[in-house]
Amino acid sequence: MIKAIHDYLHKDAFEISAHFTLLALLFNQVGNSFSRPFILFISALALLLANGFKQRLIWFMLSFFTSFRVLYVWPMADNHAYLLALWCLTLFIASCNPAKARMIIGDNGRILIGLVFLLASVQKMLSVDYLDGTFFQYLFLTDNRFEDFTVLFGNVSFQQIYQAQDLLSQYQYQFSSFSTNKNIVPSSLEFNLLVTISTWWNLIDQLAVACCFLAPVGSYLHRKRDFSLMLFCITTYAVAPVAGFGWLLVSMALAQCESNTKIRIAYMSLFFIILFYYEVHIWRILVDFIH
Amino acid sequence: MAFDKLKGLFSYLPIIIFLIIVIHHCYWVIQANLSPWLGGGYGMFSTTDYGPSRYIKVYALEDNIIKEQIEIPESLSNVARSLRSLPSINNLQELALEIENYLRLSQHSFPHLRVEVWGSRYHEKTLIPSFHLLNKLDHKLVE
Repeated sequence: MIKAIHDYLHKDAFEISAHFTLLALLFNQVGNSFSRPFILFISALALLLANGFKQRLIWFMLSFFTSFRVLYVWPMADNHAYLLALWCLTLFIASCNPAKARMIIGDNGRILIGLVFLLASVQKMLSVDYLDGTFFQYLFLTDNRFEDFTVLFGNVSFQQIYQAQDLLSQYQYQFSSFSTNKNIVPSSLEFNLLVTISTWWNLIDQLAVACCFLAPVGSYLHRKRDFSLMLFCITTYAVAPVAGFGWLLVSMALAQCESNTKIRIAYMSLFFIILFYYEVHIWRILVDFIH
Repeated sequence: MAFDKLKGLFSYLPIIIFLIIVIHHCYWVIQANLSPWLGGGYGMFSTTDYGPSRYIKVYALEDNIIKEQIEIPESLSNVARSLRSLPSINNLQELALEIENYLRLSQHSFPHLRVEVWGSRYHEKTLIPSFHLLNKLDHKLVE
């Protein structure tokens, strides 16, 4: 077992990245009823067949179906659907040119990750309601996926969250700001602190990943890129339930990292940590335990 | 030589397409109030300006006076979701036509429909919302 893992860690970056991309496609089950069966079938086939991941037809078909899924529902597809389609296209181009496959996936993977994080942080800086904390106040009080986390760290109760949602619905139903003029945000110092930390941590962390991945090759920041992305994934996917994006980022990161066993182990572990976050609702368990 | 350059460029096609998608996203955000969360611009988790903060109001009009507010039927939820995300004239028109068909089936008749899409801004301290019109369309029903 240990020898098998050791051998796997020394495989070519294209093979490792392709395998993890296929795993991400199988775990995340993307697309609609037209495209999903094909995406799942092709991904499974690529993993089952010997050297299936090298077949250019496999990556061409995956590029086609993942792109079709984006175009078919435009503009409703999530952002990672676009990135997934582009990453499948990268793997297709690399499979067409085996001699340069390592360079193609490495460069595209690194620059695409850098650009994604650059855009994510620029959008936050340009937004009218991000830097003042409005966005995270709204998110923590209205998105049920974050309520356990908010209760645990914001010192607010579920009842306060539901009251805030009710009050917000009243304003929305009456379509007026002047109906009751009641404060929707519960008064809690911890909640305000949680909002401030989330706002700035998200922005600074994403900006750091962008700078590291887009920094000139060989520079200090470039050498720190894997650490910055791992830190982002460990902290973000513990809270945000978007495992598909996390798996895709790890698959892309495996394509661009140095052939360093420790970094590869760290990324592969991260892939399964995200799976753990996704399947085991740690905040729910903690809330149940405390209450 | 030119072929080699083209081949080199082909290797970076995903990055080129990525940048085209970003420009396309910016165009629709500026042109038709596309939600920054969508369209491949990576604006997710950056603003409250997305689906749940946008509202559609449909009114039946007679002589430019609102006669009735029409509830959007559940069967049109996907069309409504698209309109909330991208309140373009095409999407307004699509919902207006779907509602026209729905009204015809349920034996209602009005000369005009007005479809409006509203966005919300939340107060930074209290989260009390204020509303602003993103786009609207007056649609004449076929007799």
